[in-house]
Amino acid sequence: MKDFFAAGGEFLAMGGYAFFVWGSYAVSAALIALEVVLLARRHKKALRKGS
Amino acid sequence: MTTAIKWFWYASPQTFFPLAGKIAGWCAPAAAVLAAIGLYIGFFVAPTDAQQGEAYRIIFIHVPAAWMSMFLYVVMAFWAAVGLAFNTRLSGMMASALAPTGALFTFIALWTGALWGKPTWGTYWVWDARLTSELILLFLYFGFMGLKASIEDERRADRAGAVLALVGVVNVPIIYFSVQWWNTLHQGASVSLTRAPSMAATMLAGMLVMALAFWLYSIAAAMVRVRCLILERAR
Repeated sequence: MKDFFAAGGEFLAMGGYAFFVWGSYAVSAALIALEVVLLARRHKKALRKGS
Repeated sequence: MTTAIKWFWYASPQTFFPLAGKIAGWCAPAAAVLAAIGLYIGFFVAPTDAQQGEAYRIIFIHVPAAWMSMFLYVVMAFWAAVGLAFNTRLSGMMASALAPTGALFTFIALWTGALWGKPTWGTYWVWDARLTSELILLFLYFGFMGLKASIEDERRADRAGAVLALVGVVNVPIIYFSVQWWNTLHQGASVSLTRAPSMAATMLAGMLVMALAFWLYSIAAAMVRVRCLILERAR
């Protein structure tokens, strides 16, 4: 179990580039998720008013 | 002749509406599955880069996003041109449906590029040809959306937007060839159709799977947005 966490920590550290790698992925994922949520909401609203 | 009739049949927003829903319904889950596979390859299969260490793993999001940012603009300009030529209502809606997703990928390409530039070049940003022309692409997307939003009459907004989209399309080859035409910090293309890729096969695989995921995501997003536009304009 200890090895598992050690490996996990190493993975998260990204060889010292954690800020750059995770900063890239986190912001990209957040923005895509935001577009999905906004689109789903708009679609739902449009369908409700359209009928 | 039958195909021609079919094309115009689908050019009607009412008949395209259910088809767009079906396409989105297939592409969205496929995009999610491919993104999971692509990320798995990118983080667990692809080896550590000899020169850049783990920092290079930004490539799996940066390059596919940059490709999409340019490709979506070309598709947007294509629909704009079709709208101008044939005066079809759906074309303008298609162009509008693509713009926000294109802007999203342009921003992602710029953001991940900055975070990749810092550890590899020592700077988040330089005003060189590749980076500047990509930033102009972002402003072209914003300009297109802003212009269309500012014109009340939808048909006029479509036409004005189409002209802007077509003028701006000249920027896309400038972005693409900027690394060859000018001296720039940005590296040349890692993948080309004419020569072997300059990277490990698993790195390339991860990148291509992510690119496919972004493709399908873009199609799904554009289809859902065009459905919204069809409904909103019908009122």
